Amino acid sequence: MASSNDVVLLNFWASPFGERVEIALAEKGVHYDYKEEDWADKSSLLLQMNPVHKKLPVLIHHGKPICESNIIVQYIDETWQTEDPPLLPSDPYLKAQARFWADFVDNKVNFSAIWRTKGEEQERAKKEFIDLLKVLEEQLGEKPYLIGESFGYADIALIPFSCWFYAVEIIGKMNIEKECPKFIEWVKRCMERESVSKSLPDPHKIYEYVLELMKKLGN
Amino acid sequence: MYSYSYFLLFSGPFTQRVLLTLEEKLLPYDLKLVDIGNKPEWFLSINPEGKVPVVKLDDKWIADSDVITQSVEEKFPNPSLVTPPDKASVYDYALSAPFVQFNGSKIFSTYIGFLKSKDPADGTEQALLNELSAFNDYIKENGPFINGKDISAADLSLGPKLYHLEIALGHYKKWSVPDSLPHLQAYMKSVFSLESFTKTMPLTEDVIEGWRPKVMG
Repeated sequence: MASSNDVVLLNFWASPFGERVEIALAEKGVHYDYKEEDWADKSSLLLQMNPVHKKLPVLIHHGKPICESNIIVQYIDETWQTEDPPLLPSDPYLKAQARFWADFVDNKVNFSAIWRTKGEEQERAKKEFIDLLKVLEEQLGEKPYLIGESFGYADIALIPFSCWFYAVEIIGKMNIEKECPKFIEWVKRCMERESVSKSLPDPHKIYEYVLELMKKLGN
Repeated sequence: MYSYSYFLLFSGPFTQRVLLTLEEKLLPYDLKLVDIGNKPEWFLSINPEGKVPVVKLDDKWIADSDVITQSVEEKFPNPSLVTPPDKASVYDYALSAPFVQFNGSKIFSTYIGFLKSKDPADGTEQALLNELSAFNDYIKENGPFINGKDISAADLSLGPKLYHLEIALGHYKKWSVPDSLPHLQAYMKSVFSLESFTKTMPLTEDVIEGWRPKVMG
């Protein structure tokens, strides 16, 4: 096992992208040093879901940096093998599916409009968000996880956003479980894994954080 | 000049209750944070028992959130936050006319019992659920707030306690309000989203640390 200072994770505590990496590292039992980055550029804080954030998280292994959360997760999967099934399926078709859905999350999941807007715009954002979750529910179908029987790459890409749901529900006056019960079942299933429950922040902290963001935006 | 203390354990929700009252009445106030573990001289000289929260109103220092909120209501009756006695009588708590002392005390005490419990079969969880279920039923019929349409003193007293309960039981027992109590869930979200609430709510980590001695002890 590599000594912990061979592996360093630079992250921002509220970043769902960083949490993907934390989950993957925990799944593989990798010891690492965690360094909380003070995100100095305040305006970047406001663009939480924006690709501008691709610089965090950064995984540093043997002194070499790897960027982009999904790419880091794949790197972790390839570098540390355990007896558990790999995070990415070995079957090329399933692997392609896993990558598709992780990409889908990256391109489509953006619910910051729910707290950045009001009135009609907010209602539109809420509807879009629920529609998105319904698409994901369809993909889930009767499967326990997004691609099949095992928790993997696509689930890791998506699950960190679940700790933002509390804030979204309060601010957006929504009940996500009512509209998408299957999705919430999947969330609860993932949260039973220690790798997930230990890596995700308390939703109340995210709520505090979102309120701060809203204040900065003058809402 | 008003004072209050934020750094504390069980006065947490009582302090927030006072702040919520001031906020809902749109009253200006000065906050002074006091480290409960290290009370400064000036604080002890005006308040020898070191109680928190404590408020200075008209040059007089008042302790005890019940007395504070009552005094504020008397001095600043608009907008009114009075919870009529008939709304709170359902709960059979200490009533003192004309101000209702609805303070969700059974919810809070059963919550503490459950939080401290080390034996999952000792009935403390059920005791809490019974209280929460009774409240759920009440709110279903009378909501969205305890006094119906509008926020009143009873919500400002109960809300903070429910926030502490949600965070502490979530953290220490991985427990959350069950889906069988949807009206309670909706009530909590409504209260926690109030502007006055978001301005005065405690930090998650402070709540967690505040309850740690009860859990560990």
